[in-house]
This record gives sequence, structure tokens and C-alpha cells, in this order.
Amino acid sequence: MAAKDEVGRHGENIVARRLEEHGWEVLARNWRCELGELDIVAVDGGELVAVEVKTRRTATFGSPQEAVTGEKLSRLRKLVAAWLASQDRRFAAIRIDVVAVTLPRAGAAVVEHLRAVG
Amino acid sequence: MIGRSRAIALAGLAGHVVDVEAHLAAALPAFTIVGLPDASLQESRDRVRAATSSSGLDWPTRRITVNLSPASLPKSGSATDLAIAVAVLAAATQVDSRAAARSVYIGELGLDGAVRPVRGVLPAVAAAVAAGLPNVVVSSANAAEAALVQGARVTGVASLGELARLLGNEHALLAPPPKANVVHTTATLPAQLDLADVRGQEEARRALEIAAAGGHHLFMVGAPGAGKTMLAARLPSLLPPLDNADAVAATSIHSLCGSFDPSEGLLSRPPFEAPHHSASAAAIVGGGSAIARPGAISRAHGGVLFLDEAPEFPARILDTLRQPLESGEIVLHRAYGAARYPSRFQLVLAANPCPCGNRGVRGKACSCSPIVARRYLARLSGPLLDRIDIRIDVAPVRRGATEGEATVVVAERVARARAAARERFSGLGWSANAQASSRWLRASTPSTSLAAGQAALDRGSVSARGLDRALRVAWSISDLAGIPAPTATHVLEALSLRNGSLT
Repeated sequence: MAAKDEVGRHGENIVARRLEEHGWEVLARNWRCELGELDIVAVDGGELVAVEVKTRRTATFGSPQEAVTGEKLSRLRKLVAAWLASQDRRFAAIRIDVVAVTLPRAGAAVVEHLRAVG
Repeated sequence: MIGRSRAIALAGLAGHVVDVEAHLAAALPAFTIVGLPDASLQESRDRVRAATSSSGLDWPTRRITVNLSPASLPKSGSATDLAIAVAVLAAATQVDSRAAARSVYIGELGLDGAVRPVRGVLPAVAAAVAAGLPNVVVSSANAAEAALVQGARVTGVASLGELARLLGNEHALLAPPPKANVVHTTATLPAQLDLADVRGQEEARRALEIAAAGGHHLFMVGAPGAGKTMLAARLPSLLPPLDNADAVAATSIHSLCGSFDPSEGLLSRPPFEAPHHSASAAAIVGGGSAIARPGAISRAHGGVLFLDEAPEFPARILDTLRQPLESGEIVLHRAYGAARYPSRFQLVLAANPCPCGNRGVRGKACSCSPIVARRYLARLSGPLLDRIDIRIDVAPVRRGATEGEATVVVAERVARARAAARERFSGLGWSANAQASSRWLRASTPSTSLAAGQAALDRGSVSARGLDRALRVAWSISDLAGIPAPTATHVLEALSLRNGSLT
């Protein structure tokens, strides 16, 4: 596993743990299909949330949330549709969140949760 | 979180206060500017962002929306960069938001964080002060110009970092001071030219002096090399200095054009503009897309507009001068609205007597056919010539011509004549004889003097309107002579100043 994948994996673990602490129900992690991958699929209240986790160690290449482009968002929408089609449960509403994780060299991870971005 | 600052949007010389609001939302990072910005203002996003980073300030990773209010007013240009940057920094609590909201910011940002000077600072600051916002922050290169506005409290900053420190951020970096100054495109004031340089030409010098005394438009016809341009270029130095209102208006125009040096204060000498006959209508009267920019007639406000080789100008362009000659201002309508520029100038036309220039010159043969020669001066339309009070022939200088009076001597007489006219017209709203109404002229000119003019009218050698013009000139002659009203001799001299090649 490349170092950057390990960083990403670590970030996703942190986020998944936090979401569960906040009472979210995590339905799937790293769900894949031919379109790509959903990092976390969870339920917040009655709402289905597709969570995209972006993890960075430095801000040299911009902040993590800046890495989510319009193109990426539209792919996430298609992925959510594909995930919904793959199972039977129905939800009152669907949204996409972005969670930006910055891992400083020392100290705790900085997590910023952006709701309903797309 | 909302940050506020203020900027000025200029539409011509009229400035409007623009409230700049920046809103930060917790969403994917983006930066949008709303409120009718044009393409040049959209570019300010990239400059503001780069300048902020270069100044050691954090650019907020938020969805930033900047609104320029009133949203219905079209906005343009780079002068709002500074206000946008301050509003964003205030919204991000990187500077004190209450201090930020107290001032008006006018300046362009460089990528290195430098605050660059912009054009039109004088009218913009004047608009801010008039709107009750005396605290103005400008580029340090514009500070001298901004300080010319009475009542303005001007802060000059060299960089965004310096401004952020003034607004309470201690970590901001100072950028190197801007190297580029406002581009001064033209030298508007000719070096002081002296009338003593003109040899001979007693008649033309006299006409020039009378034109200066009464603010009369002047038309000179003469062979090439006779000295028409020399004479015209010396007219501004004969005119009295601009009064305060005209100085502010003229300086504002030159500030917009980037053709004025603030280190010398407000323009006080009457400007001199001599556009070439190949100039376009937009260059002469003002023009351009979006909001029209001032042209030569507005740069000549309070001074002299000299059209050399006047018949070579397209008739269409000469006719555009009629409205400003009548009203003293020009209104230019463009896509983004109307711009109103003052343009009260003294018109001086010069022309050769015919295309080859030799017609009627002693010792030279004219090579033009009679019809070509006649058509040449007929290119100047009747309505335009109708507004010109003095028409003279300028003959080539002969050998042994003597040096005449110096500018200081003549300007002194002109100043006294102007003062006499101003006093006479104090209740009537005119400042020079050229503006006097026909009714006033007929009522106030002594009847014996009027009779001399009416005899010419009866002979048919002058039209009724031509007589009015001659009477205006006669008053200028009597003002120069220092007597209270024109005599019959003065009226006859004035009539003789209408008998150039064209009547």
C-alpha cells in the first residue's frame, strides 16, 4: 500500500469513528462499482449521506476540501444512485457531505465537516 | 460571518459609493463576486486571492460570496480590489471588522500584495467625501492626489499587509512598495510660451488678446508658416488661472485620463489640447464601450481646444462640437449608462486659405482650381462658424518685423478686462462677454455705438446674428481699453474682426 493510500485510510477511519460517535449508522465503507468508490455511506436521522473523506498531511497543494471539484461531485451523485439501486432500503432524503481531515505532524487530526455540498 | 467595506464606482466623473459585503459559508471553497461586475472586475478575484496569500494572511477555505451593492449599478475596473480584499479579511476576522467598515478603499492589488495606484482617484475621493465618508484609503502613490480633495482624511498604504496591520492584524507581511506609478500619457500643459516670440502679426496678436479678454472663439486663416499654431499655443498663457470649480473639474478629467501630475496640486493653468485631424469622433468628444471616457474637448475644459487644419477634420466630427459649444458639457450614452463630462473650452480653428495654401499670398501662385479652393473652406459648416466671434486672416511675416509685447504685459490687460466683465455680469450668471445674450447687448450698448453697427446691418455687410457677435467683441475691446462701454470705433473694429476670408 502506497503511503498516500495509508493516509487516506487513516483519515477514513477517524471520520467513521466520529460519525458513529454522533449517532450515525454507517451502512458501507469503500463501496465500489465500475463508476468508482464511495468512502462512507451512512444514515444521519432519516437521511442517507454519502461521505467523501479527503485527507491531507500538509496544505502545500491546497486545503483538502479544495480537492473536491464539480466533476468529482457529479461522479459522487452517480455513485449514490448506483448504491441505492444495489439495495432495497429507501430514505427520506439523500445528501452528499465532504469531510476534510488535516493530519499535522504532531497533535490531533483537524476535522472539518461540510454538509450538503452538492 | 459578514465583512463590510466600501468602494467607489465611477460613471464618468460621477462617483457612487458601493457597499462591499463578503459572506463566508461552510461549504466547498469557492469565490464569487455578484452585483453587476464586468469582466475586468471578475479578474480581481485572482488578484485579491494572490495578494492575500503574499501578505502572509490566510485565505479562508470557505465559499466566499462578495456582493457589490447597489447591485443594479454596473461596476468596472481594478480599483475595487482593495475594498474586496478588506471585506473578505474582515469576514474571516483577520482584521478588525468595525475598523474595516469605517473607510472607503480605492486601489488595485498586485500579486505580491502591493497596492497599486489607479486613475480617477480625485473624482472618486470627492464622491466619497460628498457622501459623508471622509476616511479614504488609497495607494501611497495616489495619496497626494486624494489629499487635494477638501475634507478628505487620506491614508496612503503601499501594501495590503500594511493596511491589514493598520486594521489590527499584527502578522501581516509588508510587500515591496509598488514600482509602477500612474501612467502619465500626455503632457497637458505646454511649457510657458511667450507672446514675445511672435514677430510682427500686430493684427493677429490684437485679435488673440481680444479673444482672451472676452472668451471668444477664434478662426484664423492664413498660409502655411504664417504663425497660426504659434499664436494659438500662446492663448492659454494669456488666460487667467482657472477658478476653483473649474480647477477641480479639469483636474478630475485629467485624473481619469491619467494625464496629470498630483505633485503640483490642482491644475490651475488653462489646458491646451490640439488633436490631430485624423482623430476619431470618440477621441475628440469622448467615447469607448461600457462607460465612455473623456475626449479632447473635456481635457480642454477651462482652456483652449485648437483644431489646426480645421477643414481637414471630417464634417461629422466638427458637428459633434456643436452641443458642447452650446451647453459647456457633453453627455455620452453607452451600454453601461450615461457619462457627463464638462467641456467648456475656447475654440481656436486654423485653416489654410486653400488646399495648396498659397491662395492670396503675395509672390506665390495658387495651384488649386477656383472650385476646389472655394469648397475647401466651405467644409466648415455654417452652424459651427456661427458660433465663432472672431475671424481673421493671418498673413506671412515680412522681413524686419519687430518683436511685440511679452505675455505678462498682455495677460495683465486681459486679467483687468476679465475682471471688469465679471463685475458687470455678476447678477446675470455670465463670466465673459462671449456669453452675453442678444437682448442684453442691444439694451446695454450705448445707442451711438449701436448705430454704427446698425449702419452695417442696413448696408447688408453683416447679418443680425453677426452684429450680435460683433457687439460682444466690441465689449471686450472696451474692457481692454478700460472704459465702461464700447464706443462707435470699438464696434467698427469688432466688425472688421469678422471680415476674414469667410463672412
